[in-house]
Amino acid sequence: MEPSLVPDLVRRLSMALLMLFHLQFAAFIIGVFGLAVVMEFLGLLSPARPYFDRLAHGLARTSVILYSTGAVLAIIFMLVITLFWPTFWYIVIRIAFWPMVLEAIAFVLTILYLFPWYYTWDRLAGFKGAHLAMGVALVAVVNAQQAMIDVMAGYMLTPTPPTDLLRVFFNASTLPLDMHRVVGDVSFAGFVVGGYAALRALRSRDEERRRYYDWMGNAGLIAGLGFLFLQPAIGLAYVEEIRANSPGAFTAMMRGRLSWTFLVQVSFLSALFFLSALYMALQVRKSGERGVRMLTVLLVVVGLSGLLLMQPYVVGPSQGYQWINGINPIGTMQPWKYIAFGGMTLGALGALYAYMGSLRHGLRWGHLGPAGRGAQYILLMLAVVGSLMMLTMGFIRENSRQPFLIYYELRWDQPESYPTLQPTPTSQGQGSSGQAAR
Amino acid sequence: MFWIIDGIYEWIDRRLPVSAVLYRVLRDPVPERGSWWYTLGAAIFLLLIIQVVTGIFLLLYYVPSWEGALDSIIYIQQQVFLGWLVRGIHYWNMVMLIILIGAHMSRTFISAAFKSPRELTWLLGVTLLLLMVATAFTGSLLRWDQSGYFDTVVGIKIASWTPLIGPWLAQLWRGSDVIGPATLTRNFALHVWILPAGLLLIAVVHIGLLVIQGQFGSWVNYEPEPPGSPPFTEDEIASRKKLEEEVLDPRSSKVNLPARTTWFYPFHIYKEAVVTLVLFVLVLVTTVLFPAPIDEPVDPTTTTYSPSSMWFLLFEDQLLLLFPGSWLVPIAATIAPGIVITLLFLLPWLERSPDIKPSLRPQAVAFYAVIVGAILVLSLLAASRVYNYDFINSRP
Repeated sequence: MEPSLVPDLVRRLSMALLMLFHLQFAAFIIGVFGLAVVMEFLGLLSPARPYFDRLAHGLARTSVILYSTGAVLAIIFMLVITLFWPTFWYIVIRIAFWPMVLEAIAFVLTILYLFPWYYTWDRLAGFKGAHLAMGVALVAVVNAQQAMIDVMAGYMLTPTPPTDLLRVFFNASTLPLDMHRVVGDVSFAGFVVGGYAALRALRSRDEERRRYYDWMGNAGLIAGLGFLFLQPAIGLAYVEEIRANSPGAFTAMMRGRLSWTFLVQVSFLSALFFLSALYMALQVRKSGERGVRMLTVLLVVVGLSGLLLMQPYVVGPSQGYQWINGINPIGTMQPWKYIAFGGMTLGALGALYAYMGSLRHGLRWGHLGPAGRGAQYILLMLAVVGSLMMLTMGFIRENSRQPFLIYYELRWDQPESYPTLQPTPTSQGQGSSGQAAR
Repeated sequence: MFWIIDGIYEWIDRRLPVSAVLYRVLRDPVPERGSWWYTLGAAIFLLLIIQVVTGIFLLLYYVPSWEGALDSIIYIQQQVFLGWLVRGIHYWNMVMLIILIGAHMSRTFISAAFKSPRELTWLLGVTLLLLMVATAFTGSLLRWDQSGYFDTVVGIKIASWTPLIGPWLAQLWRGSDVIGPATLTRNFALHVWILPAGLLLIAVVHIGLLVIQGQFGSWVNYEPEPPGSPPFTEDEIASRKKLEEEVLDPRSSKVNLPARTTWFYPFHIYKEAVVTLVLFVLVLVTTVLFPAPIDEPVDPTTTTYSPSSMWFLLFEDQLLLLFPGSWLVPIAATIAPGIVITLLFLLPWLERSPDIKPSLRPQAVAFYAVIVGAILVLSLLAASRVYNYDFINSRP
């Protein structure tokens, strides 16, 4: 295939779709590894050990099945990028040779840990400590693999001198991006697991199975929401790094052509908090536990705050930014956005705290009445919103540095980034593409 | 030779109850299961002693004046026999101590070892952590180099954001309108006399309370023995019997009775010695590999130096980023940390349920995990940002 004959739109779209699709798998699998290990560990401590063990084992089985799909998508990605973006890929390999080598090693180690971890589940039932240690090692290597990818993803947005390997590794946005992903993976996996459990709970005819899936949905939600709380703070740190190192990308994201996508993202975030609070209120109500009134109040606080937060920047007291001698005493963010953000997170945190109090007294699992069924539908919605949010974030990050592939270093429409296989005139009379043709 | 030592000991013992105290401390029954986890307290105390001893050696050469401080540090580092080693141990041991106190507190929290009647022990433990952080912080300025100077600039600035008393606090700390000789003198007094005295005093009371109330261990010691456990040894039976008598004695403050116990000496003290030795070797190796830093001489007029917080306050640095603007800064600077510290102090009264197993108190464990997780995440983010400061500043 001659790359130049492929329309730009196809080349860009194929990469975008492939990566977004791959990321859904990769993020979910990495999150599921972490969740499985945590669940297995909690099983050791909790009186509900059979449920925790069953969930952990189910998550492990899911991850083993899906891992191959994710890996196949990654290999297709390698083929497509080599075919459609050969010079860019060559540059990437030159800059990030060692991160790529480490990524490959981590990939092999993941395979080596993954299958023994899953297939020794029953054999090591009497040696949970050893099995857990294997699980922790698996989580470590799979996250190391992701971290190496993040080195490159971070570099493309906040590049550093490519000759300084340490700075390539620890460029300004690598760590915030990686942390955002590590936490986000678990949160995303939690919401998806909750959605799956809801589907099974709704379709189960057997009361015991329904009870288990009802409990499993609750476990997924706590993981999803619990890790979600960290995300805004890490996300803000990430955006601050982009602002400091790649101001053009920051402007495009926050104030320019992509600002609408941030509103979409904030809407998804608000929806996740609100739906989670609603789920908890419904579950407590279903069980007839105390605290429904408190949860309802907090639900209203979260809902109103979320609505306020998702309003566009221009709506609100836009004249009030420079209050005292030209200085805004509460920073550059709109005042009401701060209030809304605080209300939303503190309200959801309070709801989670109250819900965990009800859990201590013992919620009734199964027996899905109207409130119980409603809670399951909420879990399904949370899984969908979580997935959409992952797609939106990927879209924003990859588009913020446009028209650059590597911010201010390499444009996507530079001829050097995709050799045409035709000789192009250069000072030596022979271009790199000409060499490629030979 | 030994008869002289024996004679001196007997002479002292007749006047001070040394043997009785030693017997009380060493022949104390302690929980057996999970006992490696309960060795951090002793390690902290022993490393604290090392910190005091190395500090005294440094005092022999240190000149606490703005003209001579940095030169004396360089002299210790380069000229004094093994001065670099003593200073390095003093520096890295402090790092180790802060980490260990954090780990020890976390272990105590997870084990629910702060619950009645150990509230006072917990309060003193939290105070020890704060005093240790303050000691490390005040020690930084004593180098009188750029990093020490700007650590203090950042610290005093943060303190100045305390609602109501901030400006007064900053002025008290500085000793004048700017950081200068008076600030160095005040930090010296705090670092060398006031804070270590407080640390040692509280550490001794903390340990005394532990001896009086007995070691709690953790929830595993109050559950039935797991199947396949080895039979009780003579020492275990004897120590358990002694503890039973103490718990039944109305004059004793001991109330907890673990399922399996052993003697503090020689069994538990052996584990404590091993852990302390390993940690000290770690400090030594770190000292050899990474000598304690010395920065450029102080230059307050610099426009190229990027000030940042000390490593244990990096989370605070990142928190400030989340609350920009003069009205919001106090939230990050003092209100949020103040709330967390207050909650730590009030913990024994906030979590009053008799449950000790972590799974039976998910709210408390989740809350603690969020606080610790947030500190770690914020610290790492700040470290990455600080690492890239110079690069950002060098860009056109």
